[in-house]
Amino acid sequence: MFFGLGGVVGATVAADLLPLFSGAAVGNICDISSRLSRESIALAYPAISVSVWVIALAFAMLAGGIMGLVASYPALRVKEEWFLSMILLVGGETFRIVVTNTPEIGCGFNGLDGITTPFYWLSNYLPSGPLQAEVPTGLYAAVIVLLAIGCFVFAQKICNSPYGRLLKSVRDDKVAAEALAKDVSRVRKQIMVIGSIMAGLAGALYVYYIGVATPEDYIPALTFGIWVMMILGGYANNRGLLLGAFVITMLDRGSLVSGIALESYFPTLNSNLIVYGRYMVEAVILLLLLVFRRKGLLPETRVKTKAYTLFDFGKKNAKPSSQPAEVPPKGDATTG
Amino acid sequence: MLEWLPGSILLSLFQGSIYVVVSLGLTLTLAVVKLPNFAHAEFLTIGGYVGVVVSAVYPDNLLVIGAAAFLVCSAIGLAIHHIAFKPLMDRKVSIYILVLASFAVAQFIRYSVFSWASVVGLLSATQNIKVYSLVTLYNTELTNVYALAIVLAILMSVLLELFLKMTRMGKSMRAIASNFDLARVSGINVSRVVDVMWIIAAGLGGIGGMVFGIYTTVTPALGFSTLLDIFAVVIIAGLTSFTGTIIGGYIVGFSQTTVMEFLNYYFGVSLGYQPLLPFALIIVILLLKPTGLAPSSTGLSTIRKFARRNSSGPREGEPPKE
Amino acid sequence: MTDEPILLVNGISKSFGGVKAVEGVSLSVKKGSITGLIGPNGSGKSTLFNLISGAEKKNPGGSIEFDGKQIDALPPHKRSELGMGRTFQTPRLFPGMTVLENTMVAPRGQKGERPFVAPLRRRWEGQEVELAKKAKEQMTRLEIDKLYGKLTSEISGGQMKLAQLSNALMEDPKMLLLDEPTAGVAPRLAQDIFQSITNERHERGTTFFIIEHRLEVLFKHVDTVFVMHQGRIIMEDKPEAIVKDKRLAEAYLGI
Repeated sequence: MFFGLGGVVGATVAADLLPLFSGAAVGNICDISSRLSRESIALAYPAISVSVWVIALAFAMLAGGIMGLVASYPALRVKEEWFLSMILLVGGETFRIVVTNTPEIGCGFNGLDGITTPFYWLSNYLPSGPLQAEVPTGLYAAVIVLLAIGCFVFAQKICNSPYGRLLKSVRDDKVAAEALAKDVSRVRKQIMVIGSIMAGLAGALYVYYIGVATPEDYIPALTFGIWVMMILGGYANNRGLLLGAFVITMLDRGSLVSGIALESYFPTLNSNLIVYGRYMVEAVILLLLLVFRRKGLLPETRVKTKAYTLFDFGKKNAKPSSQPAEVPPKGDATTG
Repeated sequence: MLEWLPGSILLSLFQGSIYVVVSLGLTLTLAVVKLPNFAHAEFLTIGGYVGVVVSAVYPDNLLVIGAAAFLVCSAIGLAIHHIAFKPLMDRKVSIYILVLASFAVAQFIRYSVFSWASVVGLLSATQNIKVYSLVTLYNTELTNVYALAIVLAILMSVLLELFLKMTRMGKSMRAIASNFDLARVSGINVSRVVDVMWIIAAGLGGIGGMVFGIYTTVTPALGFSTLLDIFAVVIIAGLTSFTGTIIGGYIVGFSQTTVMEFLNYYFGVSLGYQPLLPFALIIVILLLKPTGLAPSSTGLSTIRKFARRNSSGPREGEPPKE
Repeated sequence: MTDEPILLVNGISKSFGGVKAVEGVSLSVKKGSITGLIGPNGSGKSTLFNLISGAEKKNPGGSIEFDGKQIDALPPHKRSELGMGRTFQTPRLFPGMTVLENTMVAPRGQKGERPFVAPLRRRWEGQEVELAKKAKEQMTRLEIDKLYGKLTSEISGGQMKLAQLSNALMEDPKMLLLDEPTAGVAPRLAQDIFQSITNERHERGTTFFIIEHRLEVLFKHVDTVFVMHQGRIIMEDKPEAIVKDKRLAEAYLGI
């Protein structure tokens, strides 16, 4: 939901601001001519195109954050854990239905296209050929990787701080955390906002990459894939998430490549099967994980702060400082 | 002026009846094994497709088609219980893990159906069952499908009630629903009763899907598109009340059709927003009155106890132990 | 110890469905005292603690005053902020975290607990080291320092009790509600726990309000004892007087 919201908001902001900044008429952002004019503006004005991109990202993050705050209201008041999944599912579907049926938001069912990468103008300076299209896209992909690394570092820093401890305590036992003067609902609200800001950012980045924002992209299978990534890598382990994301993305890309290969051998093969098969494999992976390895591949990491060094100090042949004795977690104590 | 109304009410009754039949199965699952089964709606899809396949061989033979839908879904229900849910329940995992697992099962079934349908070219199919008008009242035709659904809803509710109240198996099922551990130690063969529960729950989903499939086009996404509506029904019902489910079914049916058409007719609200009304019901009820609108004695508290017992993690508002 | 009360409970009740777990309880706990709360199983002691700490909501009516402030309407974390710490009968620790991490969660107002300060390590590292020193001291005193790297889901019940006590003491509370601090703890350690409770009281003037079944240990250390039976306070006296009173035996034997 937050991902989709970021996408739609980012695209809309981009579509409205590009002509505005370059002095062209805004007009109806949904029709074909406006799409063409967006592309030509992006080609002609490097500064405008990059700054609009930045603003679009900012708006997407803002929208994600606000939505996260709004969603945290019901999410914190539900009585059962699974009611939360229910509410978020309802939220996601509501978003999809509203966007699909409201032409005023992101052009409704047809979506909003012609969102070029912020480096589209580079193709002016490149010799025509395959490079002309590849370089701006590649450069943009690199920027996305940088931002992803930034988010990862931020998450790592947060996790290895007193705040990370606070988050884990709230996750493990709400009542005990309250007895230690921790404001549980405020922490939950904060982390929901942080999470949805990141999702909003990701949504806008994605839209800029594929060039179009349509509601049909935000199907539950997408969220499902993210769950699998998360559980595959290990619950409270950021590196695990990277591993999970890598495996699932490989599965995704691998299925595309193998699909093309298979098609060349069996021209009659139905290409949809590859996509369906991928979703089925994801479902099977999740089930197997839940039954046999609920902790994921990597164990939960400890909150690494200087506190540990005090205890390791003096133990000559202890593990390297600030590395606590890594105890593999057992049971499903933290999953509840 | 109001010429749309009788037809709309009839359609509401029809949809409500389908919801009742399908949701009764989900209510049963929630009551007996405390599982919010997000894969339940997939039985609807399967039921619809069984209808498509069987009606191609036995056109218009409702009894055969219905029985086939029931049996196929029962078999699949049993299979997913033994392959996916039972291993998890034996490990006493939290309800949250079970929800995730049911999502996985749903996704697996859905895309299996997608794959199959795409290979045989039935991504959008219709059943070979003739729809004809029985009576015409106020320019509105009461067709056989409508009548069938309404009769089926009443019949299934009554049969289920009789089963739970009169038979030994049904009584055991109620015992398990109210206290799982007590039922086990008092000599009830829990796993057999749970198997029967799955047969009935999945079968009801299948029959509901088959009847729905006469009225609408069957697609692999049929079940998923009604998933949240079915959950709206059981949430209105307070999760485990059968009477509540019947009331809830018709509330959702009416909100989707009559209320929506009313809003469309007088306020110009786009019919595309149709699913939003049950959604709103879900949110409002979960927030304000999670015990549902219908009174239920065991209802949520049973689930809450279960969830607490099964999670070694956070426990909230534990009753006093001294 | 002064005569000034730190906790004033006035006529509070709690019912679960039709069962009255706590019925019209009034009591006052003196500042700097060690006060005991005893009674047979099911007499409502833990529920009373839950009402005082806010983990459960009391029935309408009655009031709870802590350190001169009305606290009935405050959520549990606000009560804890005012300086009311507590432990639970069945230890509630954070199972996904080590003993050290558990203890380090406890201190209030850590700078690094704000999400946008957290990434800036320099801003909170000094405080962190201070707190870690304190934690180490605390854990050494309670003999759980060797367990620092173990997950709390892996240690024994007695160790959990101690870890919980260590958590609660980290906050420097004005008053601590301890729910059976020595259940499941070795007898020698039980003595030690009460010894450190007494020390704590002398050093920092902390008030202790303790539910305990090991009366022989409890009576050596407490100033006043409340006896609870069927949701009501039936006696309040010095431990020496309580032991002699035959109503105590009656309550325990269920006559």
